Amino acid sequence: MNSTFHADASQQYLPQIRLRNVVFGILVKEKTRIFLMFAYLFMNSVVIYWLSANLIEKTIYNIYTNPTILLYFRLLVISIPLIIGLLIGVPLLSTEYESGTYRFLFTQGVGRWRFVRTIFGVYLVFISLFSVMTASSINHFFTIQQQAGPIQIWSFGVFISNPIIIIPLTLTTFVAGVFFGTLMQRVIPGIAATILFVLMLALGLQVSLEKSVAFFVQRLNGSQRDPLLAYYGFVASNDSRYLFRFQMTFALSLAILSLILALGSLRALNSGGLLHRKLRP
Amino acid sequence: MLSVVSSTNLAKSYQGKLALKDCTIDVPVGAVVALVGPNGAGKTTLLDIVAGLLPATFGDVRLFENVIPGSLESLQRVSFVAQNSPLYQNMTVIDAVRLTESLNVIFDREYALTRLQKLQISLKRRIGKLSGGQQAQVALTLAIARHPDLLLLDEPLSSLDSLARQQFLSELMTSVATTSMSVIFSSHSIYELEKVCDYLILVVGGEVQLCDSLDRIVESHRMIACAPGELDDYSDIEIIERKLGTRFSTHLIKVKNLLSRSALESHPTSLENIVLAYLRRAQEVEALNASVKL
Repeated sequence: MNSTFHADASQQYLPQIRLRNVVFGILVKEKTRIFLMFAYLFMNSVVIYWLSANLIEKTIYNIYTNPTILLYFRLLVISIPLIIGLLIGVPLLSTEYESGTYRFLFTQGVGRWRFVRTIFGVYLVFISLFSVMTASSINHFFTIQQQAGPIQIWSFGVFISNPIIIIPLTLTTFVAGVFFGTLMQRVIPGIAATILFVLMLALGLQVSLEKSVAFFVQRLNGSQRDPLLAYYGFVASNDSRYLFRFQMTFALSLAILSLILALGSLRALNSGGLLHRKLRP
Repeated sequence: MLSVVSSTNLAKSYQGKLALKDCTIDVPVGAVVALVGPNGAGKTTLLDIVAGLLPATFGDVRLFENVIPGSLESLQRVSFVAQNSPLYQNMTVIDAVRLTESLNVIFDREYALTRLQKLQISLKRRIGKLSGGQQAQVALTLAIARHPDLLLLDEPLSSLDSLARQQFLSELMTSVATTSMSVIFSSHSIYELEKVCDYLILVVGGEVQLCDSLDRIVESHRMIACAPGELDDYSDIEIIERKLGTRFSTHLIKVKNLLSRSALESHPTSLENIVLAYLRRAQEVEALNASVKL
């Protein structure tokens, strides 16, 4: 008979640990990482505010945006999901395997599933809360930028820099980091896999934005133009009527992807990950 | 007698290589068990399976008669201190206490704090700054404060010097005496465990060689000096080791039926000798198998 980890029927009558106790334990364990994440996002927001103060350049004849500041802004915004995914998501469970502390953590009375579910929840709440700071600074930046003329709202850089997209994107890269970290059970290979995933995700988002906008425009106008031309034509029109609908569709898709990756993380945890079979305890 | 751990034909393989095979054990409630075997014998694998960290490849294992390892009930009733006491090195001792308290239904905070104070371990120090012995004591304290029915210790003495070993064992025995918990602790040496254990599981090459109380093991093993071939007629004995001499050979035998022991003129031997004989036998079998493969 093969042994399994499935719960027996008596488990439902067992005393349960209160959720607030588990959350407290997680805060005790993760306080440094949560603080560093807060500090990073706070500094990021401060820098974006500072950049926005220096964004507008005025001459006697013209008002324009400083292209270097714009570049820094984009780099800062794009770094958020990458940093959260790589430095918070990947080590979350993979360091437990690397240091052997999973033997301590996964033999506590709370049970590994409940612990992992709760730590996921705690981090998702904190990332969402801290991202509000970033969202507010990005909004402020765009408000300032509009003084120099309308923003190209459909261009990929602006589209994903929007808070509606950047928050779910950050959550997705975080969950992807946890997934690859759990799968690889090592930090460095987990980081490498997450970088690859984020690059593919960025590429996928860009292609799907172009394709979906082109498809939408073709359906709207009934034109038979080349899809790429249709997309760039729509970008040039700067039509904001359908922007929110598109942003919400992308945000929802990212949320579904996060859910799949979270379930994948639990599955990887159950199966022991890719390297587990090679590990000799 | 109720058993705290029982397994039938338990096996665990890694990439097709068996680390544990045909492991059938039955440990009674309240026993203090020494799980002994050389390095790589399968002790950690067995403890990991009992702790619910590894699934068995084949066979069945139950705790407290009907509890599956890794289930919530087993996690609440079993404490496990893994090899080298893996604790969070950057965490302070008091945070480790808080963490363990918040992740368990039962945790005796007062006991933990009193014990750590008695051991003169500062609560504000980071675990990574403590000595190996102190880290082992912190891990043991956290495990015992959960008041488990079964305490699993994987090579807890390996990182300790002789004085710390004595202290660790005496602290452990005090805790065992004041509670009703069963303890299984693994080691590659029987010497120190003999004084504190009342049950022995000997694992060699992934196979269980002995699983019984120390008294029964010592009682059932005898040394006999006789002419070669003289023991061949006895069907109720198993020759564990034979040392050939010029006229007489010395045999370590296991008497299958204790009542028939009087038929042979023999004398008792120490537990250490018995364990060493089993280890040597396993080594010889392994060497023989290797030469057959070649």
